[in-house]
Amino acid sequence: MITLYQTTTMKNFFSFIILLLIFGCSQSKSSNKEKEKIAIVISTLNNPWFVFLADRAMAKSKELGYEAKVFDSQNNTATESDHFENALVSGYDAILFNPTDADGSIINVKKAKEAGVAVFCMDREINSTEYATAQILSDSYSGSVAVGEYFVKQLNKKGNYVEIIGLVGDNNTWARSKGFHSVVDNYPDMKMLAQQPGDFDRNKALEVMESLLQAHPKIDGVFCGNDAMAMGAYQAIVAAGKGEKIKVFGFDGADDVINGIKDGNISATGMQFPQTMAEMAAVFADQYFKGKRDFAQKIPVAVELVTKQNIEHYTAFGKK
Amino acid sequence: MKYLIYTLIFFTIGYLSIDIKPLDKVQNITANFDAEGFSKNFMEVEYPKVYNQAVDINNLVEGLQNDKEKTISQFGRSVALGNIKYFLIKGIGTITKIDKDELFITIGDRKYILSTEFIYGAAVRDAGGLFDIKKFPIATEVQSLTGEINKFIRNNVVKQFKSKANEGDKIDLIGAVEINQAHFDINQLQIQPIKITILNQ
Repeated sequence: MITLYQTTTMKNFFSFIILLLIFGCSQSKSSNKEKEKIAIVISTLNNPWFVFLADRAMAKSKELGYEAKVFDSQNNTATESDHFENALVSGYDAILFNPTDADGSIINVKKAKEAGVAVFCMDREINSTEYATAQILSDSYSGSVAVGEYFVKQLNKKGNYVEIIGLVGDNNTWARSKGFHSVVDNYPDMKMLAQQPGDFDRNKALEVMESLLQAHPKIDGVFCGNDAMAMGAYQAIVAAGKGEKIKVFGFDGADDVINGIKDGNISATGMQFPQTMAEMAAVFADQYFKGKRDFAQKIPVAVELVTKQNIEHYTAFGKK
Repeated sequence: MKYLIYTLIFFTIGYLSIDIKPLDKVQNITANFDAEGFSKNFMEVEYPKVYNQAVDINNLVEGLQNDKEKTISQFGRSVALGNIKYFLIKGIGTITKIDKDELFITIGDRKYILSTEFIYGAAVRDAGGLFDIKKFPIATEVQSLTGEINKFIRNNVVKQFKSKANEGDKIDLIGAVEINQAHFDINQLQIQPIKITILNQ
């Protein structure tokens, strides 16, 4: 009896082990299949705004159960192309993408689509509606309309101003400039003395502002296409001893500009919501993996005007 | 001689390779889109069809005070995601004061500001719920038509109204109101006009 019991027990034990192995293998295979990978390709991680965008996209992707990796394009379309090649070869299933160039990045999105990999653009768009699955974009135009309106009010509809735009090849650069001018250009007593690119870079904007201050002794206001440039311009203005005279306006909602508005050094900014865009892109990727295909091509996310009057409602980058 | 030819070729190729344009011309411009025509049709033909959907502004205020979420979801519109919502409103009121950039009006026992100078942004475009952004995948088209809609209001609604309006006039108004649903001051609601009729003239 005892022997029989032991034999049965051993048999059961081995059967159990075999079943466990089979079950374990099939489980491991199916979980590998289910766990899609998400690549997060960002134009530059040399700007805290984009670092936050990447962090939020990564966090949401992981929260949804996906493996995710961030790639830094360093504002270079060639590096961006390498990242796309790498992502496609490495078997990533979706790309959450912040393009470096509205035209130059199209080819990368096209390649991904041809490889069956969905691309969701975040914040910056590409000049094509054929290849990205969806594009979740800051409504830069409406945001800069609001900044432009406040700019005109602060300068009492008259005065000399300069504009420091971002990257010439970037659509957001022109959306912001166009929105701003759609208001300001209606006031003939507001005179634009110069419009120069600062490449969304603080140091470059500082240099640009220094030379503008030398060339134009009477400036009343400066509109910058992002907050990094606004801080660079402000630094140059303070160094020239004109901190009290020249009003500085930015766009983004970065930490130092939010503090600058609180302190009265910066007049206003357009608050963008990178968290909303990044999280929505990750959610869209999740929905795509689960079979959804009918995404709107372009989804704008509202930008809010931040001034000294409403600063208490805002934190940097619209963090929740 | 050989070097001179090489130099000439070098500079010729260099010159032909460079296209100098003013910065503001390097924009992505959609040549064939008739933003002005679209806006005119939008305001003159399409918008009047939804005037009857406008909510009485005092009812809107009451709704926002009593049940903000329900009121916003019932009447608020915007093509963009986020906190900003636009409302198509109506009301009959009296002009109490005329300022350079705005009028102060009372509707029932409530006071409102009617913008007559700063008519910009997406309020008029979105408040009626007529604008379908899916039909406009090119951002520059959306930007152009938004600007044109506001221009239409400034030139065809506000100009005529401002030239005739006097303090004490009774007006019948359809307009758009913007609210940031995360934080707004119910006592500072600003109306962008869409249609104004002076009733006592």
